[in-house]
Amino acid sequence: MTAPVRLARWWDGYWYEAVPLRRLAVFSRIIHLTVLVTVWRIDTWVPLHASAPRSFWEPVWLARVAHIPPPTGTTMTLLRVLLTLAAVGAIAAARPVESPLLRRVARSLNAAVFAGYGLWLIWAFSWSKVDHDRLTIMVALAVLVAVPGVGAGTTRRGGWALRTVQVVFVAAYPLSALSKIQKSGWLWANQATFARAIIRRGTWFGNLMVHQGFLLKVGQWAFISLEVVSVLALWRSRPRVQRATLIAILLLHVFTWLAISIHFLPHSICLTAFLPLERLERRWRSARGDAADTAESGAPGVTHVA
Amino acid sequence: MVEVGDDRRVPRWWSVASVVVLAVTVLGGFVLTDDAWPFAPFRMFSVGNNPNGVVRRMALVVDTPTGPDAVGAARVGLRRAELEEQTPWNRRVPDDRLEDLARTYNERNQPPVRHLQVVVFTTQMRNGEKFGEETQAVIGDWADPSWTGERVEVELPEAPPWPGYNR
Repeated sequence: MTAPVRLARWWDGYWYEAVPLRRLAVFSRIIHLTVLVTVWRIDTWVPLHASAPRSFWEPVWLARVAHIPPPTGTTMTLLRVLLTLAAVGAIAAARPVESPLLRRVARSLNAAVFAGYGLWLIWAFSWSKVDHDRLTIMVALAVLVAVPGVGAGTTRRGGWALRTVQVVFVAAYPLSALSKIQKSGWLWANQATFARAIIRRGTWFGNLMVHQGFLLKVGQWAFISLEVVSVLALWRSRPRVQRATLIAILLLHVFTWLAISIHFLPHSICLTAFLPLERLERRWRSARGDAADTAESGAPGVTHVA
Repeated sequence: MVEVGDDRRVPRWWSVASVVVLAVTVLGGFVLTDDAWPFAPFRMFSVGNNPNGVVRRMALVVDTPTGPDAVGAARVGLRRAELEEQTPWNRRVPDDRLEDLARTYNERNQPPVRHLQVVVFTTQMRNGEKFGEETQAVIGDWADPSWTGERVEVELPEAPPWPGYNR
């Protein structure tokens, strides 16, 4: 076998791994539920922008190119309602049923959520402060437009969708480390970044630690080291290493949530793209007493990471 | 095209599109700014803090029937980081911006405010730990003509316009 052929096989095997469609359906529900949670629970500051001083409106490039004006009370409410209806519809439509019509409906609803959530975030970030935890969920919403998570059996399209989310999810960590080194040099971890964050927005747990300078420094070294080695989460042929890295990433997010009440949920939830979510669905169904079709859960070529 | 196990084929350009998204994300991490969102650099918590330096936060202080009260930027529809980003801590807040803040506050809150200040709260650090109590400095002071209470004369150069998404 020649090198180009081997490369092509590896490429196809990597990007187009067969996964159960049920996995994608559960992933779709989780992502759209997260959209609902952010719109109604986490991003409660976004609707406030409808009445913020217009002199603070600083549209990002996308908003300028698309000539998107700042939100008003009416447009913000309208967007919130439409986004909610579309997300609820998308959750309902993500079902393991082989139906071309349902697939088209789900794709349309997912596209509406993608567009609506994009506008929501443009209205959120065009006031000079951009949060960097939303790229992964935007990518997840985009791939769910291409592969809506409707149907039975296994799918390589779904494998592509989940792999894309996995790669972008993991890339965020080394790129965060890079940004730290760019902005603050190699000794970022020796500085008082955590202490600053705790003083500005600390929790009870964070305030316990704010006088523990050494511990905070150790935490910072662990933090940036984990960001660098997080690429191991993509090492498919070493499932134990992959699993340990994903658990470490999860713990990192739990720590930042406990210390400074930042959870990066729209990003961290995308960790579920690594999980055999179809098992979750099987449990739900068996808890409901349904006769679940479990045939595809053992489909060849399906990698169960956790 | 790739042969697949289900009834539909996966165009190979899909994986190329994924790689392009990844490449733009990496490019964003190296050379783009927040302006390029969603491909902005992942720079949250990237700026280190001198272990023996200071930590600052900004708030609005408004008069109330019971005295001055520090309130968050959310009272004028903003996040604290948005107020801080567009308001240099060591410059005087321009009068028109203060009027904007006061007008917005009064549209959103009752009773209307007659005196509003932008205040910087500063905490000293020592060896990476919090040291001492917070101090405060007024960098902007606005009052309605009916206000007869005390005001602060801010002796700082006026803040320049926000330079844009340059990081």
